[in-house]
Order: sequence, then structure tokens, then C-alpha cells
Amino acid sequence: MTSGALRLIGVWLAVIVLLGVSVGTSYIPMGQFNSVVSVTIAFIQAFLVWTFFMRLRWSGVLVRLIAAVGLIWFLLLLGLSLTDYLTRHTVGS
Amino acid sequence: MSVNADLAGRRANDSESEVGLWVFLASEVMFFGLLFYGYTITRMAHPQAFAIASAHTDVLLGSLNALVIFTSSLTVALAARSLRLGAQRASFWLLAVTLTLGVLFLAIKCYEYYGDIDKHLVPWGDFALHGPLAGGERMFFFMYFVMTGAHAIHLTVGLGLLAFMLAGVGRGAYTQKNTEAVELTALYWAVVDTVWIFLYPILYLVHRS
Repeated sequence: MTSGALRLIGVWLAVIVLLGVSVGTSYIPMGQFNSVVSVTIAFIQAFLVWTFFMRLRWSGVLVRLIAAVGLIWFLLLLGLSLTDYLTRHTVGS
Repeated sequence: MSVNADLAGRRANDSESEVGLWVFLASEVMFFGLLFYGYTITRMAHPQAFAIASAHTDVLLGSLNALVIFTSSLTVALAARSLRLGAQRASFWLLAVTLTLGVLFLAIKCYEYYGDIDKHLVPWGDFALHGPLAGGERMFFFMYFVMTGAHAIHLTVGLGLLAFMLAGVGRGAYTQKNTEAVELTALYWAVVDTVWIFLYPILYLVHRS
């Protein structure tokens, strides 16, 4: 087993440990903060998968750019659309 | 075939097909992004109903499937790596394990759907929850079925690709000199895995405490 394969197995282990943390913390009453924790963990897991399993760490500029643009556009669309839904109760009432 | 060979600073190793697949994957982010956005605004409108309804999902089967699919994205990454290093046999078996885990995921999901139907959690049927928040609870299960359904369709496509790669590596069509198809399949499968990474907490873990 080479070090590269071991690194991938290490990443998998981290993703599984994070899954355990996600399930575990969801049974601790923290109110709204429960979802903040579990979704933050999901972003860390996705980062690990995209960086190592999808090899973004070793990709060229173009592929990294496309991956980043996909995420940034999604966050832009989500953020700008929420400016509508988050302000419906305050504007014009 | 390097698209950006003249860009200094990074290893310029993006093949044209890799770039093409990443553009497709970015469009998949938009596709699932829309579903996540729909989920976000319906949850904002019905926060309590989503908390109650989420507790009716099967957290054991959902977690088990997370374990299965997270592991399958390791085995497919190792399969692509093995082929790059010329270990065709290892690549073949790792693809076989990935395919088996994918089928297992689908089987568990079908069993879970069977249970959901049995508990009358299908929002367009005789819905089990009748309280004052039933409208929002129906919305949760509508999102649950649409999102896990869209994911299952993507996963089924991935199973087809994996089967194709398995046959190809088995008969020696894909070797160390020709890894591209297996590499791209591994990328697609990792995105199917990523979708479950996000679906899992927002569908199963909303309110467990």
C-alpha cells in the first residue's frame, strides 16, 4: 500500500468520524445551532471529498476555477433570492 | 492534450474531457442547488413543521446509507488510482466493490421508501400527520421524496457507468494508458456522494434532540 492510497483512506476515515460527530451532536439539544453544526460538518466533508477524492488538490487552474465558479454562483443565487424571502415581512407591512 | 499548458504556477494537467466533465458537474451543482434553495425557503416558512416531520424519517437507515456511500466514494477513488498506477486487477475489484455498495445503497433506500409508504408519509396520499402543522409537514416530505428521488436517479445512472467501467477494465479496454473513462466515472460518483453529504443532515438530523 502506497502513501497515496493511505492518504485517501485517511480522508475516508475523517469523513466517517465527521459523520459520527454529526449524528452525535444532533442528539444534544442546541436549538437552531444543531443545524448550523450539521451543515458546517457537511461542508467540511464535501471539501475533503472534492479536494482528495475528486483530486482538486492536483488539478490545474481551469478545473479549479470551474469548481469554484459552480459553488460561488450557487451561493450568489441563493443569497440574492433570500434577500426577497427574508425581507417580505418587513417591507410594506 | 492540455487546455492550459501556458498557465504557470500549477501543474497543467487538465485534459479536455476532464474540463468538460467539470462544467457538467458545475451544472449539477445548479440543479441540486435549486432543490436545496426550495428546501431552504419552505423550511423558513415552516420551521416547526420541518422539525417535527424530520423526526419521522428513519435516521438509522439514512445514517447507514451515508456510511455506505461515503465508503463507495473511497473505493472508486482508489479504483481510478490503481488504474493510473497500472494495477488493473486491483482497479477491477475496487470498481466491483463500488458497484456493490451502490446497489446496497439503492436497496436500503428502497426498503426505507417501503417503510415510509407503510407509515403513510407520502404527502400526496393519505398523510399520517394531521395536526395544525400538517401543511408544512407535507411540504417536508414532498422535499424529502423529490430530493432523495433525484439523488437516486443520479445514483442509478452512476451504477450503469460503473458497470460499463467494470466490464471495460475486465476485458482490458481501459488500462494505464487509457484511464480517462474510469477517472471521469469516479468524478461523477463523488458528486453523487456529495449530494448525500448535504441531504443527510437536512433531511434526517433537523430535530433529534
